[in-house]
Amino acid sequence: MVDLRQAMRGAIYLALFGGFLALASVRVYGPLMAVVPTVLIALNLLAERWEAYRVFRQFKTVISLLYALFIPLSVVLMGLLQAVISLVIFITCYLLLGRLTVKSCYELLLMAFFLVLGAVVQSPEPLIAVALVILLLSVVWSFALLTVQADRLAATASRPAVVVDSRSMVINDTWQLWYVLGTLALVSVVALVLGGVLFLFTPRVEAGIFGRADYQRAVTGLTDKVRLDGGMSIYQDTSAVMHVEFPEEPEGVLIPADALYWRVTTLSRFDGAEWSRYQVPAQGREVPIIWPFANGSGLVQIGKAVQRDPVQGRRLVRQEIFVDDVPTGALPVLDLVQYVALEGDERNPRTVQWDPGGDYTVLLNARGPRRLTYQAVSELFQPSPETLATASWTVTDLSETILQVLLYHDLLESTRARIDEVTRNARTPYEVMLTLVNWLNGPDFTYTLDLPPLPPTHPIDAFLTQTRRGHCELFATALALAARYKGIPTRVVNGYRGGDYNPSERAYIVRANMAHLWVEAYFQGVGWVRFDPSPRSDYTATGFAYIRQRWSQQLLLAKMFWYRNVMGFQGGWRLDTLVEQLRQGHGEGGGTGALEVFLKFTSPDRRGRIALPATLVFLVLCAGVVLGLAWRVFWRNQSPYDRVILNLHQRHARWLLRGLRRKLERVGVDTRGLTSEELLTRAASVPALDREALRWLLAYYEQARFGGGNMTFRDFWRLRGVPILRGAERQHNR
Amino acid sequence: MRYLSLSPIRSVFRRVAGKWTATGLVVCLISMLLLLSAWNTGENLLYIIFGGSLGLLVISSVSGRMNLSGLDISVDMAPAVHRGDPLPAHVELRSRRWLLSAFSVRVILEGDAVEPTVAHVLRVPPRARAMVDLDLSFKRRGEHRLDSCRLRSAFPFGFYTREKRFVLANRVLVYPRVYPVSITPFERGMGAMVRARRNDEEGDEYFSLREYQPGDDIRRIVWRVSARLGTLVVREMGLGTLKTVIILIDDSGIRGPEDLERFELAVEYAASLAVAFIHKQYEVGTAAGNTSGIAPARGSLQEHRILEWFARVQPAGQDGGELLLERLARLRSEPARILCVSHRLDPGTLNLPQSCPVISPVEVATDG
Repeated sequence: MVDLRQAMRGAIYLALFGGFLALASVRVYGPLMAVVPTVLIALNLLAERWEAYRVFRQFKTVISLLYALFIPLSVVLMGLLQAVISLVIFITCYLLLGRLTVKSCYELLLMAFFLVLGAVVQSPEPLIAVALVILLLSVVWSFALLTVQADRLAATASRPAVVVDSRSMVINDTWQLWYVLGTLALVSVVALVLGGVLFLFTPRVEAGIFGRADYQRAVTGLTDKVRLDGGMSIYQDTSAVMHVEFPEEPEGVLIPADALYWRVTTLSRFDGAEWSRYQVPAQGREVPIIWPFANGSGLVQIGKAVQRDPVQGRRLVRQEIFVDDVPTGALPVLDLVQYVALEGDERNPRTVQWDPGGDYTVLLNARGPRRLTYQAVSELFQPSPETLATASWTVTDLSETILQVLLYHDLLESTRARIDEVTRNARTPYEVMLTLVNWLNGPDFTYTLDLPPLPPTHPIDAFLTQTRRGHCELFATALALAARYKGIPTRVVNGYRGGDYNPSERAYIVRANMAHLWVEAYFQGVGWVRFDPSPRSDYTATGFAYIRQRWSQQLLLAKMFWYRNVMGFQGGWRLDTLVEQLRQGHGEGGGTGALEVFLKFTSPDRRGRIALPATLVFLVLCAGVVLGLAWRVFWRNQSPYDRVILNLHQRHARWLLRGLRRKLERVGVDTRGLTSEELLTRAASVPALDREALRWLLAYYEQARFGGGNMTFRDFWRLRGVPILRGAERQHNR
Repeated sequence: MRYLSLSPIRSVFRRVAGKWTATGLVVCLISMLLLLSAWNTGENLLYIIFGGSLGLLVISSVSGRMNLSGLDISVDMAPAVHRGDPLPAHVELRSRRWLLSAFSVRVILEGDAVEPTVAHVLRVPPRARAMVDLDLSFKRRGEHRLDSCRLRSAFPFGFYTREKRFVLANRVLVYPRVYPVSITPFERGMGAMVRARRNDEEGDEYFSLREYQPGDDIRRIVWRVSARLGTLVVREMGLGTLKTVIILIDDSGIRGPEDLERFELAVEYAASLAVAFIHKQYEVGTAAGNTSGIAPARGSLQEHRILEWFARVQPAGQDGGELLLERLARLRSEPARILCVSHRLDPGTLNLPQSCPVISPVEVATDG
């Protein structure tokens, strides 16, 4: 027999299934997401029964509170979109773990809709078409049946309506319901068709009516590659990413201040719109010598530390660095890195290695969180202008293949002409570089984070000749390509520039908005030299950004403390080493007594004997806690009359009364259910009873039990010895 | 009853406009946001979802408008009921349509002194009738009317609520509640309280014999006794135990809501008394200070008249005490027992003569 409520429930379940199926069409989630509604639906059928238990309702409340506390953390851990989707899923679970009412059904439909929206914005697979069809059909049924159910519930008439057709024959309810369901089926088909028609004929406009068509929102930071096309507005993220100390510098201040360039990756290959890494083999005397030594094929050893021979005459600067999240697989270190050593637990499998490109990139091999503390030594290298001026145009240090990469550009004729015009007076490579840097730093160009859209092909031409507005990526790329056009091998370096000095910590804080791209040009006989065409940003955080900046700095310091001093704590008293020390002190197998037993017991081959009893003890403790909680829950569910809470004196008084009852029952007095007065009356029938003593004891009991009087354990012990039957010695003191 | 007319202006307004429900507003808002997002991003999936939601709104609007069209109603009910008792109202919903059914229609009856009563009809097929029985319960006595009968539907999706209102002409007279009352104490007291007196015109009991006085009705001469005694003797009649009662309701001194409440209690008690007397073959009449009463009579018709009178009697207000006394003075010349039912907590304040017992329902309630 068709039941309206069951049909409504089925429609809701189908709508939820459609929502989760839409999520399953997103690759990130996979088909497993389609199984989730099945589990939830099964739980819903059980939860309607569980809802009657207060424990279950309290459990739901606790879980909800815990999740509410988790929400901000989820945004940080998963990102905003995923956090919202997980919140929607949580709300769905919460609603399904309860009775389905008309209101909760509407809420479930809304959640299903949000799930579909969450899938739509994440480039789903074609499976979403099936999900949309299922959702639309189920929504039609759900809304209609919910409307009917709501109307039914609003009725106050005690008798149902009787429907009579044109032949005066009564139409029964079942047939009515089937007719309704059939009509709904027709309506859902009409809705499907109408939805398709409206989709085809909905007026459209150019996308981006409220903004740029390819408008993207980006945040300052580092990436593996640098893409140049597309307009975007870059949000300055002032959160702290690195904490750096210079322990050997006075006051921890690095001088000169403009040496604060932190290399992360080097990008040599340019393909017209994007920079990427290229494995440039080691060349010349700048070859990093890997410790232990590299083999000839370019494979390098990896380990907890890497270093190379320092170049004579260059100043070495030691750093202690904490990074909250190592970007793009490479460690940020002050240019030019000479030595890097990881700190922390030796058992942690993280390692570092030199990048085979020989471009001073140190790679981090790690799984899981990329939070890191490491020591580094860097060479400060900035050759003098006189040295650079003597470099020749012909580069023989680099091979043809590499030069081909480092000289590639795709500048248009007009752009080249402009560059020629700018550098017409430059005679040496160094002069060319300087001229180009001054040109880019000049009034013709504007540094901004609000980028106009650039064409997908020849974006730098557009930058150099038309827009002339951009950020460091455009400036650096323009300089690099212009220099390449002039025959100077260049590459760009991805990293950070600058740092905020914190006098109280004597350390530098490097922030995400200090991510930077600069240029390295190769000079014959000198090596790679840094050039930075981007003007310095005068950004100062204000308002909420300033608060965020301060907060992230404190958070970084707190994390540092936590991971260095708590998670990375290595000191203290070590039991295993203690045992080893004791064993060494006593010799192998030597010694007698308890210590020997202890040593044997804790020997490595008998560690199982420690683990097993420890585990058993732990399990017993856990079981005790669980049983205690269960008993407490059970006790709370008892009638309030059964769980009277007494203080210590009242408990002693109750013990006293119990003792009196037992004594009276021994002489045949039935004391069940009697108050103390009734007890006294009933006990009067006992000839041997000392009524005065009993009255006195009962008065004492009443006073302690109900009158707020005191009865310590000592009092109780004394009183229980008072005889109430004549013939016994009186040992109490009045 | 007959089919009811519909105020054209009001019904047109109701049919066209409807009323948005919260669900409908949410769906509209979501649809607008979807359209804006689709325009901004150019994402076709968003256009598809927008098409679906807009389709639902369109279907809801069109079919919702059609759902109540072609429906008429008729309402049958009894003309009178006691206060608090359910009054069955038979509502018949008739569809004049040829093709489409009407779905999920709420039938709402409402009026003054009655709470709106709702019935639900799942489906009214074309050319069919749906019959619904509703129990109306009136809270106050008096003459009431049913204002309207409304048909309301949010079908199919609950986005709009459409309503069709029928103005009704049904009137219902709500009698006061009547409950069992013992009249034995009054019967016992009646003979003692009423002064037996001569009455040449009325009376149905033999009182005494006396000598003929000039002016006596010669039909009263008892010839046999007169022949025996040798002088004319006439028969003198008395009231004896009269079976005529007039219930006088004290409608004066109503100052506030509490007095009014007690007045209602007094009316109910008085009505119960009246019915009890009638059932014991008494002739019962009614009177009040400010309202003309009903002459005593017997039978079920008199019972209905009395109940109608009690249904309509209203308090005189703060004053009215003098009117009550005047009424009483006129009633004392009637050959009937007069029982005064008062709402006052202290009936002595009425200053009625002793021959007219005053009953306060509050006291009666206290004594049980």
